[in-house]
Amino acid sequence: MSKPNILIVEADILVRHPLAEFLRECGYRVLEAVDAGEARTVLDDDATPIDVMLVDVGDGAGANFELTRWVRANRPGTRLLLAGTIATATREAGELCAERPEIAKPYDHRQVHDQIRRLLAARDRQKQQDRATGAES
Amino acid sequence: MPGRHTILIVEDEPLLRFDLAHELRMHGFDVVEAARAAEAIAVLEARDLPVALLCTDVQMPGEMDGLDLVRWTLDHRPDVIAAVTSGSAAAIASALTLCRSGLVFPKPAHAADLARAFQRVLGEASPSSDSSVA
Repeated sequence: MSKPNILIVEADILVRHPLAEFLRECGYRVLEAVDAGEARTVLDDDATPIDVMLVDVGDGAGANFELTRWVRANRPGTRLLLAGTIATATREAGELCAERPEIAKPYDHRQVHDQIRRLLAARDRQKQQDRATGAES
Repeated sequence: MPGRHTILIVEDEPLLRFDLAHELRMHGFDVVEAARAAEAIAVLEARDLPVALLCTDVQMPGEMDGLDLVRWTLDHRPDVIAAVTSGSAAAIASALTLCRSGLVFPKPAHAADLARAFQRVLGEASPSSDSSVA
């Protein structure tokens, strides 16, 4: 089985790099994007289908939040892991609805890893279910 | 990671950046990926990571381009070897006057060629002793 592709969208390199390195040591292939524009470039590239996108939705401009909406609409195979502060969750509560941040910042690397594993396991279960209810071979 | 040299790459095109980082990791380097000169400076100023070599593109968004970044590095971190990539012949000419290393690569450049060149240059030096990785 090939390594899962994780895309981290994070503007602070001093936060992004250690987290990315930790996840690489955990066995994932990790791509890094500094903002929503870079993330879109990566998501549009067929060569690197993204299994999980970790994105900080606390950015003031809301571009990352728009990005999560785009991914939900256009990349069903990509699971989302939203990060933010409690202040973000409170402010965006109305809009976010089901999109409340699940990961608090500053990042706890092990917690991020556990959430990624959970998302990938859920997706694998979904794939098995789809196969079971799908074509008969 | 002890025993491995750390290379800081600066490239605003994410797919090119990813390809170069991947190739360098396959060649045994630890890589820090920066998208802007300001990010590279943040890493070099923090001094958490033992950066042995900086490889930067020239044209990037932000106030500083890659040549500005090389000048900054020569002033503030002369211990770091500077390498430059660019698609502009004028930028390449400027880089050749700046980079003592001679590591100047016109684009399109093969990531494997860069990796081999860096191995040759860094193979002559041992990894930095202050190798506490953040």
